[in-house]
Amino acid sequence: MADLRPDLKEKTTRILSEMKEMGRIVIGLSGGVDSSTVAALAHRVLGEEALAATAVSETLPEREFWEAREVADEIGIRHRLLEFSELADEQFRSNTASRCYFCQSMRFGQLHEIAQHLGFDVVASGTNYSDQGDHRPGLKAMREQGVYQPLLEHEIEKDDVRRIARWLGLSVWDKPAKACLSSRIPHGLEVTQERLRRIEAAEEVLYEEGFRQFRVRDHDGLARIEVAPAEMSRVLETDLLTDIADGVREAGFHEVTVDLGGYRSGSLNPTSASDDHE
Amino acid sequence: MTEDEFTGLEKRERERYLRSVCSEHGLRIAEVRREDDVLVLVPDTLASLPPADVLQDLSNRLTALGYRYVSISVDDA
Repeated sequence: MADLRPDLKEKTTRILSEMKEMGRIVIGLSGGVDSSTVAALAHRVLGEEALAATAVSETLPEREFWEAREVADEIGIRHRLLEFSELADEQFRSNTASRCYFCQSMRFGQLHEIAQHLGFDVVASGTNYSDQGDHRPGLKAMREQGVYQPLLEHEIEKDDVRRIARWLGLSVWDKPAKACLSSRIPHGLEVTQERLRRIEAAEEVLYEEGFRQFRVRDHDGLARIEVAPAEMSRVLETDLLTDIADGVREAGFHEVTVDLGGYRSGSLNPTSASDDHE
Repeated sequence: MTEDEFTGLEKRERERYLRSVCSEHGLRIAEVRREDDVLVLVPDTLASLPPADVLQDLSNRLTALGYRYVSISVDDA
């Protein structure tokens, strides 16, 4: 097992102490590296007094649902599924720049209900210190709900979360960052079941072709594929590109394009600060 | 050319300029159009696209003119 840098070891030790004091913790587990790390730390110090809960809704790709289950098994933490519908909320569907605020309010509101029902004291998330630099109205919702965010509170940035995850032996330590499917739809376009499902099906085409870091953005039926700069040369190979385009059209898009700038996290975020709920 | 100078051009001149920038980067285009925030370049052929780093540079040039997303169409080529 790789050793951990002394400052990270110290922060990790402080988090473990805090968790022990807190008693019983429910962690919102997406299956990504951040929430998996928090879940693994909680399980390490609390054992059966830690519970992971995965929100299952229209914006969660089936692949990620199974990945969340697998990582919960790997950690050995108790795991529950929390089913709810984001599309039932008109404020979410209307897809303003505050969409994530409404989603996270719902999500963590329900987690709090489960926590209370099962006698848990604290609800935690995997938000890390690097998340603050992006457009994240969901962080406001978590603050309002008093969610415990150890990686944020101890100023642990994404790269260091990966180091801790690796130290913990988690298989997801180098998993590419994921985001809910609605993040592929530009603000102002309604989030619908049809759009979410075609995005999921189109991204599955890229998964199957072996790409690691990508998004299929949905500009009202025009697919704009973003892949990581390191994978751009490959996506431009003629035969592969043609196969991908066929698959993406079959998923339900009327036109397929490839973004020449490559993958950028949050590329659909508002460009004007006035659009930001924060 | 600056973004202000570019937006001051007439539509036909803008298209001519876009074609010339693409050509400088080795990308021959059959058509260029805008779909909301997305600039769609339709290449003559997918068979001989310039390397990824050259296309990245092209994207940088065109986003500097005010286009938020610069893409190539895979359908019409």
